[in-house]
Amino acid sequence: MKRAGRKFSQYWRGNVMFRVGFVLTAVMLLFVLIGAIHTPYPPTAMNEGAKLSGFTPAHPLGTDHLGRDMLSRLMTGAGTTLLIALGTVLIGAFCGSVIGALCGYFGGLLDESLMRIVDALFAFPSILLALLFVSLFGSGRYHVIIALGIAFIPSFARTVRGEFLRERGRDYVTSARLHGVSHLRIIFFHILPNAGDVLLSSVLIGFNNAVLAEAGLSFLGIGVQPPDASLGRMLSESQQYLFKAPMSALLPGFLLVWMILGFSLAGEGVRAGER
Amino acid sequence: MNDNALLTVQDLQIDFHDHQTPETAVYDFDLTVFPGEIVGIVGESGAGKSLSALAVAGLLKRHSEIRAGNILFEDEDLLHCGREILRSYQGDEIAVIFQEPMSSLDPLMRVGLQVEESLVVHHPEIDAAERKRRALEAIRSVGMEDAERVYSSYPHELSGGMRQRCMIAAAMIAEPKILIADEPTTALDVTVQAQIIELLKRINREKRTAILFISHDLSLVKQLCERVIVMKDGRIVEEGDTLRIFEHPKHAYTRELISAIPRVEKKEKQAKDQDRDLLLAVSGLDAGYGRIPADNEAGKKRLFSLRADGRQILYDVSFSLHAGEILGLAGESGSGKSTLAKTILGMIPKLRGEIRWEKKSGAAMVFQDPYGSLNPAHTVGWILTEALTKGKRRNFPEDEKALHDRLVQSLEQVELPEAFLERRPSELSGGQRQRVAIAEALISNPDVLIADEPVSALDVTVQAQIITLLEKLREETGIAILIIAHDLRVLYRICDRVLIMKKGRIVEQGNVEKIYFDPQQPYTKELLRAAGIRTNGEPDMTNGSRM
Amino acid sequence: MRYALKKLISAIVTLFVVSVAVFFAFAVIPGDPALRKLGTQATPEALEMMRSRMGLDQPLPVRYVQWVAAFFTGDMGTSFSYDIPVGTLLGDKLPVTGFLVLFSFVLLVVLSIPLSIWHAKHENSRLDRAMLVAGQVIMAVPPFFMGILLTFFFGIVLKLFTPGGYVSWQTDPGRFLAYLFWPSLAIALPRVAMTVKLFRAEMLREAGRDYVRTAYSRGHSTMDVLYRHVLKNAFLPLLTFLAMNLTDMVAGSVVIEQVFGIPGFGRFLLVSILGRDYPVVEAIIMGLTAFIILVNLVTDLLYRAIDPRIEEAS
Repeated sequence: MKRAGRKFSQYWRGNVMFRVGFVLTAVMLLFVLIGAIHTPYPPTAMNEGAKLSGFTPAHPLGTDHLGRDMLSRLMTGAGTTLLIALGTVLIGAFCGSVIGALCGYFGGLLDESLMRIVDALFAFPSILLALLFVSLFGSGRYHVIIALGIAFIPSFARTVRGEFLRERGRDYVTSARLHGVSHLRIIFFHILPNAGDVLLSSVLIGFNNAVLAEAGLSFLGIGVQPPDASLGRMLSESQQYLFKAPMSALLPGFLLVWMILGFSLAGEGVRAGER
Repeated sequence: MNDNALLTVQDLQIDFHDHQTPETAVYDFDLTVFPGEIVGIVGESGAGKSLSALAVAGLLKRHSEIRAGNILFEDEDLLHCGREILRSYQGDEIAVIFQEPMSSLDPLMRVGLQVEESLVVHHPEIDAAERKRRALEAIRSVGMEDAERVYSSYPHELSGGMRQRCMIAAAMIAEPKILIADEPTTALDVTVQAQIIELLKRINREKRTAILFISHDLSLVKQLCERVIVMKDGRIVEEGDTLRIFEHPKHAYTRELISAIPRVEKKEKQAKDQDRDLLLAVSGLDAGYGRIPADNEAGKKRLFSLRADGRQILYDVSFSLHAGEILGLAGESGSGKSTLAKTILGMIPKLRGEIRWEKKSGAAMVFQDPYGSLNPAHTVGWILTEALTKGKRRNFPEDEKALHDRLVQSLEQVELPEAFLERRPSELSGGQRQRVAIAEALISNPDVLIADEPVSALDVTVQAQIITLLEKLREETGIAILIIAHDLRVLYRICDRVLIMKKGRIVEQGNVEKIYFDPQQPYTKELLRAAGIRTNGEPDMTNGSRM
Repeated sequence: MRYALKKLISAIVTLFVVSVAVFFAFAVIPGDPALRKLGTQATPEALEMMRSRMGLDQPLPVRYVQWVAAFFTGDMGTSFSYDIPVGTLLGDKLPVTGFLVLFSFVLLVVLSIPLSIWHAKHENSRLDRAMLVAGQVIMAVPPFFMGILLTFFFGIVLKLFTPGGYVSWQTDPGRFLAYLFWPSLAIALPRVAMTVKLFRAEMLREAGRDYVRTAYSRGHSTMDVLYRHVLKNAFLPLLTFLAMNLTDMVAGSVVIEQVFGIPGFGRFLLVSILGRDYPVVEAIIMGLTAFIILVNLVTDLLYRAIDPRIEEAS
C-alpha cells in the first residue's frame, strides 16, 4: 500500500499526461458509479411522447429514437463497456503475463513453441480474432469478453516476455539463483516487482484497446444485445438519425473518446515515467 | 593570452538544466593548447572533463549550456561566431573521437562512407573517386591493411579496436589541427588500448596534430601527454607538466589519485598457498554455450539445422584454489573469464573435465556492475534477508530480532551503517552498492568468493577502497577469493597467485611475483607491456618510484 | 537469399497451420450444414444424401485435403445462404475493399511522414506541442466514430458528399473514388496521429544517439544529419508499425464499410458471420491470413534490405 502510494505520487509529479489521464478516468468512473447506483430513468424505459427530443429539462441530454433517456443510457452503457473491457483485460493480462513470464524466464523449447503461436496470433488484428471466435461460439456479452480476452493475450504475453527476458539476464537474478532461491520465487518476488510499471502501463493501454474493440463489436451488432446499452451499440443505433438528432449519435461517441483518452494518457504517463 | 596558441579557453562555465533548477557542472575552466602539443585532462566521473572538451568542439547536448567564458581557436571566437562559421571548423580543423566506437558510428552506413564524411562537408570540390582514394589511404594509415574490405563493411562487422581506428581515420581525413579524444580507449582491451595510444602518438609526431586527450586513466595520460589538467567536481585542481604532476603533485586530490593506482613493485609476499587446505580443484575443464557441434567445426550452417550454433569457450582449464588465498584471473574480453566463473558455479554445464569442491560448502559471487546485481525494486534489508534465507523464512528459524542483528552485523562487515537497511539501490553510490553486493555474497558464510571484475565499473579512488575492503575481509574471515579482472595492476595489488587466460585457455599461472617479474609466455609479456608494467627489468612506466 | 527462402518457408508453414486450425474449428462447431441447407423438415434419407453430396461423410483429414486442393483450383466452396460459389460472391467485393485499404494506406503514409519530419524539426515549439495534444485526442477517436464525425461535418453540415451515396466502380470510377475518400480519411486519421507520435519519438531518440554527435562533429548541418543519418535509422521501427497498420486497416474495413454503407468484403464477412455462412467465413479468413502473412513477409525482407545487422542465421 505504501509502495502503491509512493508510485502514484511519482507518476503524478512525473508528467502532465498521467495527471490529465488520471483525472479523465476518475471522472468517468464516478459517472459510471453514480449510474450503477441511480439513473434518472430506467435505461430501457421508452417515452413514446419524447422521441429524439433535444436537451429538455426532463431529459437533460435528450432522448433516443425510442424515447429512452440518453443520460441514463450513457451511464449504464459506459458501465457495460467498462465491465466488458475489464473482463477482457483481466483475461488477457493474466494469461498473457503467465505465458510471457514462463517463456521469458525459462526460454528454451517452451518459449520457442508457445511464442510461435503467440506471434502468429499477434499478427492478426484483435478485432478479426474476436470476430472469428464469435462466429465460432456465437455472440453475446460473455462470449465477447472471452473472445476479446483471448485476442488480447498475445500483446500482453509479448510485453511481459520481453521484460522477463531482459530481467533474467540481470545479475541480481543470477545472484538469487546462486543463493538458492527457487525459480517461482524469483519470478514473482524478484522479477515481477521490476516489471510492475511496464505491466501497469500495458494494462491501461490494454483498457484503451479493449474499450475500442468492444465498441467496435457492439457497433457491428455482435456483443451486447438489445435492449441493453453499450456505447458502441448506441452509436450504431443512432447513426441513421444523425441528420435529425445528431446529439444522440455524437454523445456516446464523445463519451467513448473521453474514456479512451483517459486510459491512453494514464498508460503513457506511466510508461513515460518508468525510465 | 598567448599569440601562437592554437586553442585558448578562458573562464568557461557550463550549466546543466536537466532538472528544474540549473546546476553548474564546470566552473572557470581555462585551457591553452599549442600547435602539435598533447594535453591531457584527467578526473573521475562527474569531474566535468568530457563536458569541457565537448564544449570546445561545439558538441554539447541539449541539456547543457555554456553560461560564460571564451573559446578561441586561432583567431576565431567559436562561442560567438555563429553556427555556420563554427561548422566550418568542425571536422575540418577540429576533429573528435569518442569513447564508444560502436555507437559513435551510424549502424546502417558503410564505414568507408562515414570515413569520407568530413570531405563531403568541407571539400565538395573533391569527386567521389578521389574521396574514396583518400578514405582508403586514411584507413591504411591507421594501421588496417585490408582497407577495401573495411571500407565496404558495416560497423557491426568490425571489432572494437578496428571501429576506433575507423573513427580516427574519419577524424584525420581532413587533416585537422587538433584532435579531441574523449576517453577513446576506455571501451577497449588493454592490448588494443596500447595500440591506439601508439597510433595517436604517431599521428601527433607525423602530422603535428595537437591532441586534447580526456581520460580517467592516469597511466595512459602519463604515457601520452606532455601537459596534464586534473579536474574534480567541475573545477581544475591542478595543471602542469606531466612529469612534474606525477613526481610532485601539489594538490591533495592529485596525490590521492596517483596513490590510488596500484603500484607494481617487488614486495616479496610470503607464499600463502603451501600448507593451506585445498578448496577447489579444476582439471581439464571444457565448457561452452548452446549446442556445440561434436566435431568442433562451428560455422557449418544448414537451412534447418537445429541451432547447432553453440560455441566452446573453455579449453582444458586446470587450476586449484586454497583456503584464504586470493587468486587472480586475468585476460582480455572474450577470453572466457566470466564463463569460467559461471561454469565453476554450475550455471553453465561443463562438457568435459572435473570441478571438485573439497568441502561441501558454498561459493558466492560479486558482479562487475553494482547497478545490475542489486534488485532495484527492493531495500537493502530485503535483499540481504533473501540471500540469508534463500527466499524461505524457515531457513532462518530465529526471531526477528536475531535476523535484524544478523543483517546489521553483515553491513558492519562492509563498513556500512544500520540505516542502509531501509535504503534502495537507487539511493546508493556505486561504491556503496558494491559494498552491499559483497555483504550479500558473504551473508551465507561461503568459503569461496568469486568476484567478477568487482571494481572495473568504479572510479579509481573507490576502487582502492573496495580492494582494501576485500583484503580486510580475507584477513578477518579467511575466505578464499577468485578475483577476475582485466586490470593487471589491481590484480597485483591484491592477489597471491594469478592465472593468465587467452581464448579460453590458461596460458600461464603462478605466484604474482613470478608472473609479473619473470613472465615466460609472450602473451603475458604483451599484456604486461600493454598495461605499462615493467617486464624483465624494464622500469614501470607509470609509477616512477622516485617520489 | 537464404534469409528470404527461410522466411518464405516459415510463411508457408504458418499458412498451413492456420488453414488446419480454421478448417477443423469450423468442422467441429455444432450445427449440421446439410440440415441447414435442407431445413428442419427434411427426411433423414434426404439429409443423408445431401451429406454425401457435400462430402460430409468423408473423414476430416480427407475433407481437409479436398478443401485445400479445391482452393488451388479457385474453388472456395459454395455459400450456404446464396448457393453461389464463394469466389463469384467475393469477385466484385474484393476491388472495393482493396481500393479502400490502399487509399487509406496512401493517405496514412503521405500525411504522416512529412508531418513527423516537420515535428522533429520543430521539436518543442508551441505548434509542435499543440499538434501533439491534438494528435493525442484524434488517436482516441475510434475509426467508426471518426466516420460518423466526418459524415456529420462534411456530409450533413457542409454537404461535401452524400452520406450513404456509394457509387460502384463499374458505374463511375471517379465518383467511386470521391466517395471512398471520406471512409479512407476516417480510417487514416487516427492512425496518422499514432504514426506521427511514434515516428517523431523515434527520430528524437535517434537524434540523441552518439553517432549523431559524431555527424555534428564533422560539421554537418542539422538538416544533413537528419536526412543522411537520423531518418534511415528511425524508419526501421516505423516499417514494422506501418505493416501492422496495413493489416489492421484490412480488419478495420469491416466496421468502416458498415458506417459508410460500402459493399466491400468486410461488410460481407459480417453478414456471413451473423448468418453463419461458414464457407464464406472460412474463405475470407484464409484470404485475410494469406494477406497478413504476405505483408509480414515483405516487411521482413524490406527490413533486412535496410538493416545489415540482421544476420543470415537469425
